Amino acid sequence: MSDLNAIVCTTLTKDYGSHRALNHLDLEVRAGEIFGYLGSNGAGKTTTIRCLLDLIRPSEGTASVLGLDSHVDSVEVRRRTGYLPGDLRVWSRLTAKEMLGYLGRLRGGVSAQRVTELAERLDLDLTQRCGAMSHGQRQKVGVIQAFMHDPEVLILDEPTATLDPLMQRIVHDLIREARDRGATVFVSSHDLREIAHLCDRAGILRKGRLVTVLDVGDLADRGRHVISIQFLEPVAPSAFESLPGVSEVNATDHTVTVTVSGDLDPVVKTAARYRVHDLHSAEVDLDEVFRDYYRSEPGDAR
Amino acid sequence: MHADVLRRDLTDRWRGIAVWSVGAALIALVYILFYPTIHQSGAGIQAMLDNMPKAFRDAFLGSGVDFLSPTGYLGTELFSILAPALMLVMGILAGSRALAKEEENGTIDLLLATPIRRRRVAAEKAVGAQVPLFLVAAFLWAVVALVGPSQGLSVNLGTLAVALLAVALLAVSFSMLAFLVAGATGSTALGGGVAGGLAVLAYVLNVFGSLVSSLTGFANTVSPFHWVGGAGVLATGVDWPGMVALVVCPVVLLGVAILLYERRDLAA
Repeated sequence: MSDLNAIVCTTLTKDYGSHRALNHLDLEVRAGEIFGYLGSNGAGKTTTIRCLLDLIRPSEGTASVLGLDSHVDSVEVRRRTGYLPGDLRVWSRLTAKEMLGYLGRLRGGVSAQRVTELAERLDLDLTQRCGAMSHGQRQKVGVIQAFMHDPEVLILDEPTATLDPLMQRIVHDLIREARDRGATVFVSSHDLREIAHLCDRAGILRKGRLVTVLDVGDLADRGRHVISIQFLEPVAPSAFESLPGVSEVNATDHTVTVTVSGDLDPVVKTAARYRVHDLHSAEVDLDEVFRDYYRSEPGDAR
Repeated sequence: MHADVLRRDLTDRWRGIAVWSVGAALIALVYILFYPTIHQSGAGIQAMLDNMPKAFRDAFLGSGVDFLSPTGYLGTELFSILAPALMLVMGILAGSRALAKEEENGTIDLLLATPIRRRRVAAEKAVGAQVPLFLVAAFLWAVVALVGPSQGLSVNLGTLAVALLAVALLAVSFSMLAFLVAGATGSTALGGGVAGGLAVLAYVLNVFGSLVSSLTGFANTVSPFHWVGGAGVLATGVDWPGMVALVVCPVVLLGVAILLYERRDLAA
């Protein structure tokens, strides 16, 4: 194993009949980082994760965690990993305490103090029956069972999808704390905003292929703005078209709408040459940026 | 890890197991309490039985079974239908649910996220599905042993134990078949359906085997129901080749079940 990589997928491929869910995926997650795994539903995120945990077997290629083969050394992989399933299901007849006790015993025992501490932070009543819980509460049980043994690797499939913003923040804190004590976190999401906020690096998955891996700083750089400027005089759109970073200019009467990537300064300076009545600037939804990556994938017919 | 999966399994199911065990014992108790009445009106019943076509009598009572004797009565009432049917239903339900239910409920992801081998989960779940069958057999034995003598139903308790063990093993065989199919497909319905269907088929084959002489040899070899011994079992005792087959069969099925389960992609 390379000391630098905690998770490695090599030409990982998974076919379901004629449908190729993962297509020769090569992926490296560095030890000690929070790696975001971005993709829309059906892109193959869960398939990758379930291969890492040996719940499903690749049709081709291999996956390894901490240098251990995900299939051959599966038990050791799972001992050192915490996993939160994307579609979390719990034993509805058990209380949270019973369920966590059961999973803890299967791990050879976990610290009751750690479980209590996590439950307090997540504001979860452990005596409640899982079947009587809301989605959010169940998700908290899932989060606790993934973190309770302080694993070296955390594999979290859409951990915050069903949590309210306050709880999302707490889970993000837990993830960062895990990273800070040296753990590697592999977290999938379809929410680019969350990934940008949380991760060190992110991979974008599309139709079973890794489109790109980027430092999350790059994502922010790609942030775009739509600036709508209302002038007191007619302005020719051509004044804005050649400015750096401007991709789209629309003009109606006295109003010019410009889409800009990166630096806004040239647009503002240009606008200042005319008499400005009103100006609105809005950041383009990060999802738009995300969709850009999707669109720019070569060889895509759509 | 000390059979945590098995313990969890039995803890979760103990109410159902208790209901089955007590229920089976109560039904057996009713039959036992009826014995004096039936015995007293013996001549009439014997005449009725004598009027039945011999083939039918042989098929459903077993040839040469004296219905009015304690062994004949218990054998007919307990061993030809009641005990096998109860235990088969119970075993097939438990066997089909053992692995596949966790998959259908989606809880298998959490269970197998822990460092436990799949084959261990399968083995503990298999044991969990079978334990209650032996419990029911023990309950039936206890009722006959405790209440029988007071109603004039005294049988050899050793033979009774072996005969009940054979019935339990019959149920174990079909339970393990359900376990295998459900574990290999992730479908409780398919496991229960295949095992239930084959159980009915094997039963029918056993009946026809005693009706149609050209079928007898084949049916006796193939149908596990014959291995158990049928209504005459308390008089004649279990034949040991049958008993061996009843032990080997579930062990082989378990081995195949684990192999298939280990290789599978588990449903998300």
